[in-house]
Amino acid sequence: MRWGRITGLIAAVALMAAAALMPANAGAHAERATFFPDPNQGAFPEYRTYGPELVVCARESKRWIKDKIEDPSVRRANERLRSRCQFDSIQTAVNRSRNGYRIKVLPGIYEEKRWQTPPPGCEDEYLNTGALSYEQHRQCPNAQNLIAILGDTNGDRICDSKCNIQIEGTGDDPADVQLEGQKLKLNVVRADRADGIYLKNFEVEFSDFNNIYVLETNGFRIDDIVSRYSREYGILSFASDHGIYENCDASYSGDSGVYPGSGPNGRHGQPDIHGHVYGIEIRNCESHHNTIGMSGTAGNGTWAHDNRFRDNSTGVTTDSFAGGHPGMPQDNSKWSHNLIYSNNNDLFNNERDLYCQQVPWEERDPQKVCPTFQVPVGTGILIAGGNDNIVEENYIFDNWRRGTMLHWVPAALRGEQDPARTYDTSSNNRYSRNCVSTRPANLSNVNFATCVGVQDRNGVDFWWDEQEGQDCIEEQPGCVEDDSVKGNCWENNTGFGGTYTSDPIALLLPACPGLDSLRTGNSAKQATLVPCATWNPEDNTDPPGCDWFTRPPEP
Amino acid sequence: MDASRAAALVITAALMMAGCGGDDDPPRDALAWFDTPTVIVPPTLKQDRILRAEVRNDSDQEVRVEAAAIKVYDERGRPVKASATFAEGYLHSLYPPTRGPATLPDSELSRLGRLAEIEPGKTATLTLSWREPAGRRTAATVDYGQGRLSIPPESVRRAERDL
Repeated sequence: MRWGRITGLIAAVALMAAAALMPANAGAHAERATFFPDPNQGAFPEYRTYGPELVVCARESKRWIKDKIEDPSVRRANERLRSRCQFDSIQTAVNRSRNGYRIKVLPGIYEEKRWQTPPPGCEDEYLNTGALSYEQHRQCPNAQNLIAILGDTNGDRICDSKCNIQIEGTGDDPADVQLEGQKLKLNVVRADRADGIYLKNFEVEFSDFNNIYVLETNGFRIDDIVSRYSREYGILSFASDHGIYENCDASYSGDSGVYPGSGPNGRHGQPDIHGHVYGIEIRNCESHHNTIGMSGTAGNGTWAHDNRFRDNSTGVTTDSFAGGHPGMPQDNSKWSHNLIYSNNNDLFNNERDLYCQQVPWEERDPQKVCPTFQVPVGTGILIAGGNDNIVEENYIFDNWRRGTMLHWVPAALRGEQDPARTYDTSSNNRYSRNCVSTRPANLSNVNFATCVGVQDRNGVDFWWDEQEGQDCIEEQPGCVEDDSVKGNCWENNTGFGGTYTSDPIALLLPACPGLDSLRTGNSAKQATLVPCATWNPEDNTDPPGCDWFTRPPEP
Repeated sequence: MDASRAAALVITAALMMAGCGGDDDPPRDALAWFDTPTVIVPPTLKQDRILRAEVRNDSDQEVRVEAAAIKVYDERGRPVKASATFAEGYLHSLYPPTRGPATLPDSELSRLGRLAEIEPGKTATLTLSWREPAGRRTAATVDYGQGRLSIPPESVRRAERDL
């Protein structure tokens, strides 16, 4: 049955309401049960030049303003601000803030040393690296976080205090303001139920988990941030909505540079009442030298465009193969106008394996990334168990294994026990008008409507396990078909010389809108993926049968 | 029958049951191939083999097998480098392998394919991969702790021919 548009909208609103009430567990990390915010509330924050202002400075601010700020007008503005400096700690300024405050952070290094030892009553929380409740974070905000912005004071999961806080570095580039996690805390910045948070123009590094962590927040914007050297994630949002990552540089993280996990669920490709189809937007970011450039288990309703995902082991992944993430299975995200290239970062070789086994995290060279999860080295964009995604008008080149990769994930692997849903993933994904195996002449000025440049091959441009999943209504038990038209499809993709490579051959890649009938796929191809699940960086770095961890030769 | 004789009979019966293995002992050699295993040679790893098969519990007790305990041996009983999982597809754990809790509940171990609890008469999907030993040796036996399964040579030969 194909729904009519009106029926679909009504259903979407109903599903959104259901999603907003759905309890959730958290991602590839310990976290409390989380809930999606109401998609019909909240908004994408705008940069503000008004509102009460607090000024934070460091011991070296005076010198850094003089030495590091090149623009004379910015330097003068900083000198004026320094005369009004009230705080030497960002957290102290956050503590003093109320709704709508702006916190200006002057050039310098911020280590927030005063929050590193537990205040009375927080001793246990400071030792706990597991999941703390929201109330525990409220009681001991810096137990796991260098800086915590916690916006809900009455436990209804809706921000009522410290909402619309704007924290902005005042230098003329992000490097002028440095938030240093020092590998001491799980998170450097945690914005939790902090609706409207706006983070701008600083550098953040050395978290044990996330450099920037946005959780259960309706409305956030991360703008002009450099995030690097995290043990796991550069910038991570989870069970949040109306969020923008923009102008970011995310690098050298053990998992992903950017991770919009458990993205807004319930829109299912339909706009919310504000007209937004996508609840998370990632744009003008460069994510490089991580294990993964961008990933998101249950990365729903996310639109990544005009980014560069390069020099990671895998450029982009989205998936349905970890349990405990709300919003499964993954669906309805879009990648367009991105450059996805040279994702051949060789992080799983024997030398790196040994290094990661022998050198504790605290002592590692920050540019020697140790992968926290396994990925197929040399892959541009991998959709594992996703539905209704769009990969459109991207340049995808120089990924030595595969430019794109699409495969099914059995529902049981995400903990779904209903056997009728076994084949409910990997349907309706569309690859259109991508330019593959072609490097544009000028990476800074790319016309995505064309496919022009020099040849720079992917191993194979399009790889598919040949499975076509069922279109199930997500919240209903069993597989209730909600579409009988669309299937996985490829259209108007091209490459150098007008051709592309694929596995299966191009004739067997369905043209859009696809062939919407259940197919279980190529079992031999699927079998080659399974041994990779047994990877373990300590005792099984190179499982037999899995070729993911050897960087393929340049094609 | 007097009480002492009845007690003696009960003890004798209990000893007989214990002699038969007892209710608490896992059954030996309970697993069998449900069908002929499929073996493939990954195109990029010519020395490696991936076997996928349903294994059926032919005993009258539940069989519990930990994937990490599964070993592969060649014809002369020498160990072969191998990995095993009961997962039906590729997945990864909720936590990074080096950072998770020390113990996981059985439900999570089952989801991850690290544990199979197979009811009598039921099956589980086993994916076993190994690196063929050097020389003329080849993998021959799967030891899952409570028993052994023979790797059908014809399945391996077919995969090698198909390559």
